[in-house]
Amino acid sequence: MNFKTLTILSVVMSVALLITVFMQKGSYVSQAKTAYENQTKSAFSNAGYVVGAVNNVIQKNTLLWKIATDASLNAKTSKDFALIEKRSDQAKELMSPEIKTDKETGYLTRKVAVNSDYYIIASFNKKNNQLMGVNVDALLGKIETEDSNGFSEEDFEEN
Amino acid sequence: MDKMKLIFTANVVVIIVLIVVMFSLKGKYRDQAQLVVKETTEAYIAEVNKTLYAQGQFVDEWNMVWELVFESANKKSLNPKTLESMISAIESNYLKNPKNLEKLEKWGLKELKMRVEAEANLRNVYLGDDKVVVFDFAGDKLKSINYDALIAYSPSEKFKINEPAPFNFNSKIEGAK
Repeated sequence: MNFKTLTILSVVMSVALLITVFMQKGSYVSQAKTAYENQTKSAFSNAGYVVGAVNNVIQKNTLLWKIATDASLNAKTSKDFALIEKRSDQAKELMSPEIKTDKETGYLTRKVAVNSDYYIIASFNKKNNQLMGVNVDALLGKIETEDSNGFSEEDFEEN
Repeated sequence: MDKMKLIFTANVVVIIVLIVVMFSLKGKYRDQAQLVVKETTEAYIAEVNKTLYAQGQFVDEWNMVWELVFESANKKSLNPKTLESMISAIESNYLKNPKNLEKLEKWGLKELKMRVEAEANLRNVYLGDDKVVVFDFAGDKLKSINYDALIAYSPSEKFKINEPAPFNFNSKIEGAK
């Protein structure tokens, strides 16, 4: 290798080094951007899901609170309650009501739910169909433990 | 040949300088990248948590307001005094639940209170700045409870998670040298 070749190689090397110096920032920026995007996008997606789910629960539970409060103020009988329930649920968000007889009180109970976690239970006197009360414990986060032996299936009369 | 020697020598010097520059910049860029990613990510997560906490606080307050409305609807007689005691009872019951205490600690609060303001015969209940329930009393008797605004209240516009800002490598970093 003669001196001329060595000189040319050194020029090429200095040009390559110069390019590397300019490009290395880009490489770090790119790595940093990827790390930032991965972490923030994951937080965005998880938090967005939570916020959306909670907003949805608020919207659905509003329906249950409305039925419970409207019924407490205005319903006297199961027919009144059924009417309030029907009028309130224009968007058909409620699940099919679960009707049972509470063996302890003898009252007919109607469980109105938007899902398995959130529901209200209205109780009616079987003799005169009078509304005896609405239980909102599930809406208040009080877990209600149902005794499977305490209820029996029975048809609900809405008239 | 002398000219060639000069070019070669100059190049060797340039190469050495470039190597030094490259390594010193490498360290600087690495430190800056780590710092920017750490701080911008933490800032975004703090913003997200702020929204989540605000929503959590809202949900509990919203539930307390509904509980108040529901209980009021079930009271045979209600006057401003009994309403006040109901509010106090709901607020103190809230504090009896250990899960709620954990939440309050996370939110940096000691208690959660409903915002109720008296205006002549009215008792107005607010969620944030929005009046959501109005208890109307005629003397010592309750005339009506208007909770239409509470039914219509939609928090979906209030609690939203903003997308992360585009990455900026040169964003101003607190404490950066």
